[in-house]
Amino acid sequence: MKNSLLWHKAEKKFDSFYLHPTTIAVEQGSIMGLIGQNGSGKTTLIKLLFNLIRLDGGEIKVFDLDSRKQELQIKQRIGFVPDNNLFYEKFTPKDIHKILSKLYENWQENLFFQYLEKFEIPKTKNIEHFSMGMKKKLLIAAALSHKAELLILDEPMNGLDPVARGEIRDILQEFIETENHSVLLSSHITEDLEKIADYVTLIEKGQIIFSQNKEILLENYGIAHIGKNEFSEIEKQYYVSFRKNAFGYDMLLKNKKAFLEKYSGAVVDNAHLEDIMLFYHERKKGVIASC
Amino acid sequence: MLGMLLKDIIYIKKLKKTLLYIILLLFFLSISGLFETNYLSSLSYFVMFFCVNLSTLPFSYDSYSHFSEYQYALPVSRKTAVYSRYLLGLVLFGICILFQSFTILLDLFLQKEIGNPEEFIMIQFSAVLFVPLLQSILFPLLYKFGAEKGRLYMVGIIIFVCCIVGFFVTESKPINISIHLLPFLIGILLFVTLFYILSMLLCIKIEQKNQK
Repeated sequence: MKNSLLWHKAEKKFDSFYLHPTTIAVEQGSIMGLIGQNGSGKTTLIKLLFNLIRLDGGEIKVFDLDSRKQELQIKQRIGFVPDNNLFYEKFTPKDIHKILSKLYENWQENLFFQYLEKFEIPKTKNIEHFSMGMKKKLLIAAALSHKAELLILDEPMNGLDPVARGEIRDILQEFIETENHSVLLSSHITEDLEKIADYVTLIEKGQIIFSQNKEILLENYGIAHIGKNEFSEIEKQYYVSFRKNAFGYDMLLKNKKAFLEKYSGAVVDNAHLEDIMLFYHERKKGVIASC
Repeated sequence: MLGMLLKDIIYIKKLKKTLLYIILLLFFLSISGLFETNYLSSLSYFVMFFCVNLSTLPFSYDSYSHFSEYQYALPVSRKTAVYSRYLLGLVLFGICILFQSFTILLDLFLQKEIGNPEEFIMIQFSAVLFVPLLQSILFPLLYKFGAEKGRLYMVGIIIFVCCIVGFFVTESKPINISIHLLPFLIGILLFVTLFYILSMLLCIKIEQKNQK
């Protein structure tokens, strides 16, 4: 399978943050979810891809092109939805159309206005009067109106109600139906990613914890509920981290099948992405050592 | 480049009502005789400062709306973004020239005391060159320090330049400017052009360095 996007040993050093050499691939035709808490490095990865910040090591390939040498060529083929509204609040969608139509070679006026109609966004009203959901949808309409093959969304679900989030998920599903289209979706709202992502990457403090197929991930990981007395019998190799509760312990298992083979009587639930993210975060905080 | 230029022009167009009120106010003030001179072209000095200020407005708007943070996620190079700002500066400079020409013509028609019309025209036109000159000083400051700090530095620099010019004007002997007017005008035109280009190149360097 061809990659739409590849960070290969991409590295970035700031005074207070270090993105360790990172390799992530986004396959053509897939949705990659990038999860991690605020400040974990998600936006840094996106900024590196757009050359908004300088790469200190490694390389980034988009459509097999070098992100630094063929920057403009690549950007013509990417649709980007930042976490905040990008445009001046006094602008109208019509103004945005005028500007972007001069920047993108493949800008499709009709398509843009069709999206506006579909999302019920008025063409001539100032953005300042729009709700958060409308602003996001406007940015998505703009990102989809120049024949983009790769859509990159940075925290698109932030501050949106469940209905608006559902609409955005539908838009992404529709976009991905075209064969060569791909999506990179950065979010800390894991519920949405669980519904639409094909692959998930977890990043913590600038380090990739895992990057793999979501179905396999959710099939393997599990939450074991262990009584206080049984806890000491569990071998450390089976779990990532644990949490103490009133009745005993909850443990994040990396391989629930192997765990159940060893401890057949144990109660094990399926893990959600949110559980996985939280337990990995607890591990980083050193919960194991403190208990 | 056209897209970026258009964006800045749309910013400015959004202010059209405010701009119109200010120009009308200045117009009435200048014909009221409140200023020392009765020439309408004195109005254009305000328009000049106004245009310089307008050319810096998009920096503030970009910073305020976070556009400056993400503009390079669009298919725009750093060079192009800088070129478009200088092009906007030239567009506003062009407006100043048109306005200056209009007021000069009105003055020539309405004022009878203008002794040497040629000298008057040349002095008025050379004054317009302050627009690109000030832009050349201001733009690198705005790129280097951002919209807010850059403006503060600019105020400091303008006061400094005014003091220096004031000092030389009061200390030096008066010269008969009408003899040297044409070479003076050509000289200053060349100087401003060179300064504008150098300032633009400097801004490109600064903007490239701004990439952390």
